[in-house]
Amino acid sequence: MNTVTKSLTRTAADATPATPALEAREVEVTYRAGAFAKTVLKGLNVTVNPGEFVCIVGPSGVGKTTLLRCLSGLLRPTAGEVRVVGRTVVAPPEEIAVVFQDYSRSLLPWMNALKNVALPLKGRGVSKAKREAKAREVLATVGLSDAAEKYPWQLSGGMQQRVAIARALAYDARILVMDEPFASVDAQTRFELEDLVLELRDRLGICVVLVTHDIDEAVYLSDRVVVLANSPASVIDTVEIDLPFPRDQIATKSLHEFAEFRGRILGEILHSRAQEK
Amino acid sequence: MKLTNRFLGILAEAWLPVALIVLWWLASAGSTSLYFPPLAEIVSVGVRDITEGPLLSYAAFSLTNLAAGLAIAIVVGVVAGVILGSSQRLRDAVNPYLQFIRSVPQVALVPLIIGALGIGALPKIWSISFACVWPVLLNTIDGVKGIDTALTDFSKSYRLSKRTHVLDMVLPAALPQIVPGVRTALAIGVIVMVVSEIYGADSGLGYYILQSGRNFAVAETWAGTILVGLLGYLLSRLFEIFEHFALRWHRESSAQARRG
Amino acid sequence: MFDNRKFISQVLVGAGLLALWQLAAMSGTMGRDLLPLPLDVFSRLIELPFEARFWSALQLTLASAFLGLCIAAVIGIPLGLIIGANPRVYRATRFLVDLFRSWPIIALMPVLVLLFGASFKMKLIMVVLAALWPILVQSIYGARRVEPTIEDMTLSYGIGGRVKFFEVALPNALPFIMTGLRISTALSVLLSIGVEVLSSVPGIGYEIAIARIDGASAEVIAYVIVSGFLGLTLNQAFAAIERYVLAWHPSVRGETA
Repeated sequence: MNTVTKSLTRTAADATPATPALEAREVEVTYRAGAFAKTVLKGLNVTVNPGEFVCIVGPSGVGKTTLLRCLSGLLRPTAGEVRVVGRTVVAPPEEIAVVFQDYSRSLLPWMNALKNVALPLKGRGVSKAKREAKAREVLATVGLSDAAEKYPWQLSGGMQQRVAIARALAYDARILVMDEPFASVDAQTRFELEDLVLELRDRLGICVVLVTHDIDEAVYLSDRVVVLANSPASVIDTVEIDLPFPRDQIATKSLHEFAEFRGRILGEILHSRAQEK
Repeated sequence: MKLTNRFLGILAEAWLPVALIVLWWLASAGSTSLYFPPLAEIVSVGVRDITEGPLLSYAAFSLTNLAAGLAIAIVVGVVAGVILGSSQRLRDAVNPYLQFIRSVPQVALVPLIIGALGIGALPKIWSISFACVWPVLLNTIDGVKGIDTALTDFSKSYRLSKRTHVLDMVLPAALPQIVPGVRTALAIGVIVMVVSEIYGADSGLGYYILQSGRNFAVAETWAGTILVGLLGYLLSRLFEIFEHFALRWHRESSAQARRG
Repeated sequence: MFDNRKFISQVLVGAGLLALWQLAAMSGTMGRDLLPLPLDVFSRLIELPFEARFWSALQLTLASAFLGLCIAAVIGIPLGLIIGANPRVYRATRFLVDLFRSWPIIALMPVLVLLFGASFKMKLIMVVLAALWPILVQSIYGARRVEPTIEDMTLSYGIGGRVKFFEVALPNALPFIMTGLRISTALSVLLSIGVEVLSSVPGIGYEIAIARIDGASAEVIAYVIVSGFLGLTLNQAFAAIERYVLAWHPSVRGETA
């Protein structure tokens, strides 16, 4: 049941593309509070190619969310730049949809699932009939055909996060940016959602950037893992995860290589921590 | 740099009020309108009546009544609130009457009390305390009712005396609810204070406003009205400062809880 | 479920209060002027609905309170949302809003009587002036209290303009706006009756003042009880509206948010 079928669309993404889908170049972010200034990110480079699944891991508080806000155009970096399909980002770009960690807050409690999903389309001025049809379609994609009329607070945490993912899909984004999307659901639901996202990536040919502090999750999902550490944070390693697709919660995680990747990343993070002290 | 920031902050808040006062001052400067005398005249009349006239003693009369009425309301409201808050059965029995009496618009009772008891200070104090007691009482009940059962269990298992239990556990725990009740009571108290003085008095700020209005001394009426408004503002700011310190532990511990 | 014991205890308390009232009135210590006999008050209460004068007073009080509340809401809600959404405007108006929300508006009555006379119009203006501030303050507060996640979401999904205002900002501020409206409902009745008591503008408050001058204390108490029922009814009606409008809100759903 946890097996993800690999579809043909993946082959197109396998080819090395000319322009990366999303790119951070020498990004630096400094927060100022009065006379105090704190540099959170410095000299940071990340490249995400079309169709790629990239996870960004690092210890809590390292600045993962800050990086993600930069990548999605919610925060202008103090120095350096973020590019989407070669274009410098100055405002949240149309190609990107963000799925927030706090699904209970990013879904609007006064709207049912259907209206929540259709809201970005309404913002674009799509007609009512069209946006509802689209919303129903994407809700079906995430397995929530029956929950369209339910309000977020009538749904379980996992279902709420599915609604949030559906909203991102309705937006027709080419790039899904996810901030610890499965951090507040139980383990079983988490595995289901992980496989759902893998499946959506295959089926729709989108690329996914996912921030997490969970190394297992990162290795399991990714084509590539970007490891952040230190303060100010920078990329200390980029690991190509050449585990076979489709991935499977049990089979993949019992592979010898899986353990190796995991050990390598964990070692790097612990090492950087030890050096800081 | 810090100093300039502070200055800019004050400027951002002050420019509009200052501009409006200047505008009022200039626009009314040559006014011959009966209803809108020059602001300069209002101010000078106000200053005159404060320094030489009766305004200062009137203000003292009003504020003493308010303070006394409020004090009675707080004592009665908190004591009754602790009793009602600790007993579900008592609460059930009186609740419908409580809900009704607090829905009576407080000013409706002013004619009755002052009409029957006369125009002195005491009936005003009664009017104010009768109006102010309900928000204090209801909030205290809510606060006491909502106390964590762990606190009661603690008192029981350590065999704290009733007195210690109420003074050191119940009251502080209910304080975050009691204080907003007192704030509401203060606002209502100021309204009832003014109403009671307009209804029937021979002293007080409301009386000053009413009398000057009846004598068509419009500058005095405006001066009195502005003075009452400024006093209302000042009282609510003072209360905010008091609240800030009284509930410091509450604010900081809940901020701590939010941080997890 | 009907709770027998609770009901009996309530009846007992009611009977006790009545008996106390009866005894106090008969002893005459508080004076008949202040405290009439309960029976006199109840017979007046039963007579009142048959008098045209009563209905006209009730209607005039309700009309000024309701109309004043509506005008205050129409001005206060949009103005508050605009002020709250613009940090510069918010800072420039903060002092003024603070000043007027704590201003005992009833003190303006003598000035307004000079300007407009003791009229329905004057009463209405008083009600609007008093009811405006809680609505305005809460609307400002609601507009400023947007979850950062919601703010990020609207930015990220390019939601702006009218859609953002009607679908996001307004419902987000609604719980606060309802709080403001609830406070203002009580205030508008308070101000209507207060103005009627103090000036000779017709309404419930005026009936109280007139009865008081006539020394008809049973009539005074009867009208005070009527005003209490008026306040209670409005309160209950408002709570019902609030439950309907905010059905999605955790406080209505009975959850601790």
